[in-house]
Amino acid sequence: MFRVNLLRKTSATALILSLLFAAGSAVRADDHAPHYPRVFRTFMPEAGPSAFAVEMSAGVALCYDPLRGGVSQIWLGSIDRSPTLAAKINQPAKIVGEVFYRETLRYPLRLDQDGSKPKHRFKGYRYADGHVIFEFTVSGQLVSETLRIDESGRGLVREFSFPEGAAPFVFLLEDQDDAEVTVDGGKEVNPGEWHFAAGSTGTFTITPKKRY
Amino acid sequence: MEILRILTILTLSAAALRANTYEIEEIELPEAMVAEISGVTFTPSGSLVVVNRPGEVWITADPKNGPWRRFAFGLHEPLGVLALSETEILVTQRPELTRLRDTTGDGAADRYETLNDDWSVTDNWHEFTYGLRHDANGNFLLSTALPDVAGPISERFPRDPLNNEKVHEERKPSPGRYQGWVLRVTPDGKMTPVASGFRSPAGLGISPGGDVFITDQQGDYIATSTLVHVQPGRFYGHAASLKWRDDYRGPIKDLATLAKMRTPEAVALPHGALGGSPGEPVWDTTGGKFGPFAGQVFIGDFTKLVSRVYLEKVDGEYQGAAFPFIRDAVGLEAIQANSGADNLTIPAGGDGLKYFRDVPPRPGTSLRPGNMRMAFAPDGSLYLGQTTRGWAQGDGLQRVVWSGRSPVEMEKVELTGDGFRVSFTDAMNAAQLADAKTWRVSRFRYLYLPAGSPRVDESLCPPTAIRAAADGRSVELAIAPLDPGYLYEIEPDELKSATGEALENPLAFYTVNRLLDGSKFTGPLSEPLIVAEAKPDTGPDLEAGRQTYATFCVICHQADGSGGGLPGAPQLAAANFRQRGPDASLSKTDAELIKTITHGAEGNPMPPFGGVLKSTQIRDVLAYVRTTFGEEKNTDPGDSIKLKSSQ
Repeated sequence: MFRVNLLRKTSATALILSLLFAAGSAVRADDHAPHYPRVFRTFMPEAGPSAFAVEMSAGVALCYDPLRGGVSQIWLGSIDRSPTLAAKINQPAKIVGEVFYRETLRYPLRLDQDGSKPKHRFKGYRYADGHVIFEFTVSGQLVSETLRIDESGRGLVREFSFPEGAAPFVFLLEDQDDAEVTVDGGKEVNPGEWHFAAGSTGTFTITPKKRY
Repeated sequence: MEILRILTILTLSAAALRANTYEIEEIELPEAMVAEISGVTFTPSGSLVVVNRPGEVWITADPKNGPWRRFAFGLHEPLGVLALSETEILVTQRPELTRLRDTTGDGAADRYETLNDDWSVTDNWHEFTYGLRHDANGNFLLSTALPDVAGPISERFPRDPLNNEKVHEERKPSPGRYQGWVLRVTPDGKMTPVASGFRSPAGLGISPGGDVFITDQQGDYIATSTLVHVQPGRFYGHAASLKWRDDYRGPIKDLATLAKMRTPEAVALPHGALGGSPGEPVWDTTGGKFGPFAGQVFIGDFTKLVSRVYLEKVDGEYQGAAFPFIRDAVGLEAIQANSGADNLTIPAGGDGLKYFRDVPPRPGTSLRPGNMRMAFAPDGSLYLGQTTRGWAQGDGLQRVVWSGRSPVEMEKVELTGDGFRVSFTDAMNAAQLADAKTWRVSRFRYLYLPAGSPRVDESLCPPTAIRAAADGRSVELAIAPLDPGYLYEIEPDELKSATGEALENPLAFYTVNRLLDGSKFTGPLSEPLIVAEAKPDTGPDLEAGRQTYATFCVICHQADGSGGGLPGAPQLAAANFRQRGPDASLSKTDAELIKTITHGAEGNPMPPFGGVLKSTQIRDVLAYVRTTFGEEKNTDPGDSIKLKSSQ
């Protein structure tokens, strides 16, 4: 509501009266509060500039870093963004929980013929059917990565989708000490090197899950 | 309670009688919204849209009664917003230009599309991405700030390889591609770099005629804040961003080379007198709903100030006059009392602070600081989005409403063949108008220097002839000398209207880049023409040192010298002058401390003041610190202060 602000700064009495007058006039906001999954672009530890903090639920969170190459860390817990919001010179957000999955290799998803220099372009993200879907191109080929919590509630399902007729992809999977990682829809041609042909299902999944 | 309510209404009514021409109204925001408003606009159908620093977009069709709904969230410090419809809104956030779309009709965006990110970012705190406007062809315009070395610049996973080469002597670098530029993005997401040479171009606007303007903030190379007419391919002064031009061939050693390349601002906003950090320029296209300034530019400022600019074209280039429009107490006393506004205590060239005029605020005005974003509403009121994080206190959303009663103001100042024509919003006192004593006219220049510049070449220019119009609504002042390259300050402090009302803002600055015959300044751009008279050195001046400390040092080192966590950055600590022992700051020699004050401290947030303070000021403040906080603190201040030997 408008509150005409006509008070002289020196008029303490008027200020008090104004505050009394204004009490109870809080403006209503419709209920569009962020729901899970929820995505926050921010400064994340060990990530490139302006990565994403993604809270999949009250108990599973991750860092998605498009400049590194996707899901960089997964943990059971949440994210504290307050260090990024408190001051002029901000600090990265805090991971609340223990990271059980970590990727450090730049652009682990690449076209088979890309060699060591894949060309990634981040295209954005969307919410659909209760999931969050990140989109990017790899050497011009559009890739969608849908994220959802796995059935155990201790891991993340990453489902990659490619357009019909896309060239074969490679994913370089790093060894994990604290996570079991299952891969569906591809073939491991060398240790950690998975090849995916888009011809059959058009999708493959990587599911990191925290070890007990 | 009822009595209180009646008293309140009476109080407000009495105030309303005093406050007349323009009122400041508070827009109440929902409790769920963080009030750090960093962008404000309206949809084509008239809904109000705001963004805030934590990254939300809120929208309401009725700012008076609500409800508000959260259209989007999770953005990274958005500082610009543009609403194409109720369901399609664009924002500039740190790393990209983003298109937000509601494709499900539930009132909230479900798609966050990266429209363009063809410039580089690091995680430096000062890499702000500003904007956002679109031109007649639907292209989007945005601008990027340079990082600040007071905070870290990470090289982890850059979008493009960083380039840390210095172009000249810049303090703020441009390690990432197109930092310090204005950029244009087509509706389908293709980016074209437009112009370079910007430092922190926090405000972007497009005139009704389609011309793009930027406000830039004073500091290195930018002697005072500016309103710049952005033209493709041009360079506007800050050296760092030049490395991203296609024709860049390596570092430039000669300042004169840079000076030749540089296009000056259309209008200078003198530091102190007209604020310290300008925000968004907006054009009054309300058709008279906002008063008698149709077609003019309004510029919010980080201080409690909104300025007004009249632009005219002279020899094909924009220049013009700047005026205060609405201001709270912006005098030196007020600034020093509000130590949170620390950006104002670092004036260009070190002596800008003296140009704060202690002018009383407009009656009833309660303008907050942080006026970085503005937009005219369909009803003709001017909305002010305010955010001050880390620099001062005061966030929120206010609006300025014209009461319908014309203010007594200088409507515009135009250049003539021999001086200026000043027009008024009302008929003025005929006798005063024609009286030379009414008119205090002076002039000065700013120099083009890496460290910024104080005012130089100051002189009085009393009118040599006065030609007042018969209707009392304008006057022509013949000025000698009238030269390009100067700002002319016009102060008719005592002038009143024909009915006896005083001018609300008796202050104008006209930036004369060119005379009507097209002539431009041909003298040295980086040296004064008037050499200050040398004064005999009488040793350290403790009172001058105290004033310098109160102006520049107290914000970090505290009034009692105890230092500690910095405002807005508690993890960084300022030196404690009360500490004793071999590691204490004041155990260092004067030579070491002078070096620290001059060049800053490596690995420490202490900034360099060499370009801000004169050597005598550094000597004075050091003497004051030693005398007040050091072991000499019990000595009689009247004693001669001897500086410690570096031996």
